[in-house]
Formats: sequence, structure tokens, C-alpha cells
Amino acid sequence: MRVLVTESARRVFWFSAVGALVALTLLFAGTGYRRTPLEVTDAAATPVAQASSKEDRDLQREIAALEKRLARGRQRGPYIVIDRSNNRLYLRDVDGVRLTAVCSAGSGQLLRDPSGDREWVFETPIGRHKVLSRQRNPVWRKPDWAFIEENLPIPKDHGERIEYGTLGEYALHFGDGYMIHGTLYERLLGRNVSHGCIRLGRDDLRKVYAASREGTPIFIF
Amino acid sequence: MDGKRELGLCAVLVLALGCGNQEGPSPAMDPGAATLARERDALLTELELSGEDRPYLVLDLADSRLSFTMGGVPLRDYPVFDLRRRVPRLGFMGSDSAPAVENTVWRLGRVVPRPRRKVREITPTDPAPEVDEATAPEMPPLPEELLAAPPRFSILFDRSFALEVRAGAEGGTAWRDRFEVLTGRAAPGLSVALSPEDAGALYRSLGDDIGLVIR
Repeated sequence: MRVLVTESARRVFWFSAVGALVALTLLFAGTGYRRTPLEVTDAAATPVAQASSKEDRDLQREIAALEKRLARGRQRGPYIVIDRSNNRLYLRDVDGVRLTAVCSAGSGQLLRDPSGDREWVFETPIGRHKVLSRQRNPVWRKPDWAFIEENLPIPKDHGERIEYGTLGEYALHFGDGYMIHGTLYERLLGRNVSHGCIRLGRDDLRKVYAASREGTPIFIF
Repeated sequence: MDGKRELGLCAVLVLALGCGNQEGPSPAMDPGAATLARERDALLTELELSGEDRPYLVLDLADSRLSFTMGGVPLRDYPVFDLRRRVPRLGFMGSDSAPAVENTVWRLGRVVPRPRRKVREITPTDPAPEVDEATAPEMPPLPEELLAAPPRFSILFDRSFALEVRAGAEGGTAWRDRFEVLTGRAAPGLSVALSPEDAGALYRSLGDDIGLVIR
């Protein structure tokens, strides 16, 4: 009697083990994501149904008004887009991209003033800006961090801060000391090396300068 | 016997209360009106997003295009060459029916895996001697060298929706899919394939609290 129970128990054990293994395999194999093509309705091809009720008509009027409000924000003239993470500048208008330029945006690096509490993070600011002024042959008035970075004393004489030729032939100022300007080191374009400004190559800078005016929007992301 | 009768009476009472508390069948919303209402709500939320001073994503299903947008203005476009609905399945089980995605707006999305950007500190050094272009010091890294994008990443919206971005047609492995579903990190949503360059550029551009408009 004892031997029979043991044989039967062994069979049950092995059947259960095999069954559990099959179930786990199925569970594992069938687990994941199911990706199926998405059916997209083409709004242009689908005729708009007649509004069947007052509620529908009210909703359609509301939608038209909201779309109008959204459209008001869209740009009709040229605007500048800066992709700071990938160092690209685009000149765009309502028809699309007019110019793609390789630029250099802020490095994101941190500089601390060893003698005080000041610190600077050299990032290009995200957001909506606009060209506040345009300048030919801009002159660089070096800020304090430019001296600290090179272990130089901060000059008291204003004249010692002035540097000619560093910023190229043109500059487009967009506030808080930030500009789109030229560079002496075109081989570094495409890399995040600036102190927050946008550096462009000579040819691209000419085109962007020619296409922009005071008030031209600049979008940075 | 008495006990059984009392029990039966209680059951009847509970049922009666239950039925009484149910609201009568609400008038079913006309499906056309429901679609219009959803479109209206999506436009309202999109207007809110466009009023903020930061970018959000717009997925245009008909044009197969994903765009970074700010204030309703398209900034950069990423052509989508494969678009799929994505539904998690546990052991072949899982609903194939998913909620409509057209005319929806999602907010506060976060990127998974999170881009790891280190803030490097500058050590002030003595000015280098005059150098020309040919003898410039070593080249700083390119963006893709600073932050390499994974072959597949997702933008998760509170576990209720996810936009998966694949670099190229494939991107990612079945093992990773299983890991996400088994650890409860899966969410239904959409899966788009971009070119590897565009997927990498998009990954590097994404920040926190991303908004997504699907038209």
C-alpha cells in the first residue's frame, strides 16, 4: 500500500512539474508588447458630417474658435530656431526650413569664482526670445568670468576688457548678454563649447543676419 | 429555519438597496458629439501648452510627423516612418482594444531611460599661448559622444500612456519588453520609428515634464 501511494505521488509530482513548466514558458513567451499598425483616419478625405444636434453645432463652433486662437500664435515671417542639444540653427518660415546651420551652443559647464560666492553655468537659455538689436563688427566686452576662467585678475580699467574681432562680422543680441555671433574657431562648430551664446560660421552668420530684423523671433529648445 | 428566512430577507433588502442606489441609465452621448467634445478638450489643453515658454511634442498621425513645438510654432520635425499601437500583454493576455489616441493631449511626461547629463566644472587654467586653427587643443566631444541615445526609449505619462521611440525599424529587444511588463512598468500607447539620427537628436533634446499633443 505504501509503495502504491509513493508511485502515484511521484506521477502527480512530475505531471505538475511539467504542467508548471509549460505554463511558465507560455507566460514568458507571450509576455511583452503587441505592436499593431495604427489605422489613421484621413480627416481631409472624410467628409464632415452634418451637425446632427444643437450640441454638435455648438461644439463645432467652439472648435473653430479654438483653432483660430491657436493659429494666431503661428509665425508668418521668418524665425530662428536653435536646437542647443544638437548644435543646430534653423532659419524657418511658414513654408518650412530655409537654412540649416551648424552652430555651437552653451557647454553647460560650471565655473566658480575662487575668491567669492559667484558661480556661472554656461547654458544657452531655453524659451522664446527675439532679436533686440543687430550689430556689425561687434566688439566683445569681456565679463568677469572670462578672466577668472584664465586665472587672470579682473581689470579695473574698462579698456582692458575690450576685444576686437573675437565675435566675427555680425551679432544679433537677444537679451541678458546673449547673442548669435561669429567665431575664430570654426572647427569647433557642432560642439557645445560656448559660454551660452550661439556661435555660427562666417557664411551662415551672413545669411542669418541678412534674413533677420529687430523683432525676429528666436526659439531655443 | 428562522435563521435562513432572516438571511433571505437581508439578501433581498441589500439587493433592493443596491438597485435603488443605481442611477437610471444615463442618456448615451451621441458618438459624434463625444468625438467633438474630445477634440475641443484637446484644443483647450493644447492652448494651455502653447502659452508656456517651453517646448512640447506634436504627433501628427496623418502626416506621419513628430515635431518639437513652442507656442504653436513648429521648431524641428522628425519624420515618422513606422507608427504602431502598442499594448502590453502578460502571457498572451491583454486587451487589444485601446482607447482612441487622436485628439488627445498628455502632460508631465518623463523619459525612460532618463538621459544622464553630468555638469562638468571648469578648472581655471592659465591662458594658452597664441595658437592658430591648426594647433588648437584637443577637440571637445560631439553631442552624441556626450550623451549616446539608446536604440529605444519611451516618454511615460503617469503609467497610463507611453510614446515609444525606436531608432530604426527594430530598436530594442523582446527581453526588455518582457522585463517592463513583468515589473509593472508597461503602459499602452504608441510606438514610432524614426531614423537613428533623428531618434538620437530627439533623445538629447528632451527635458522634464514633456507635453504631447496627438492629432
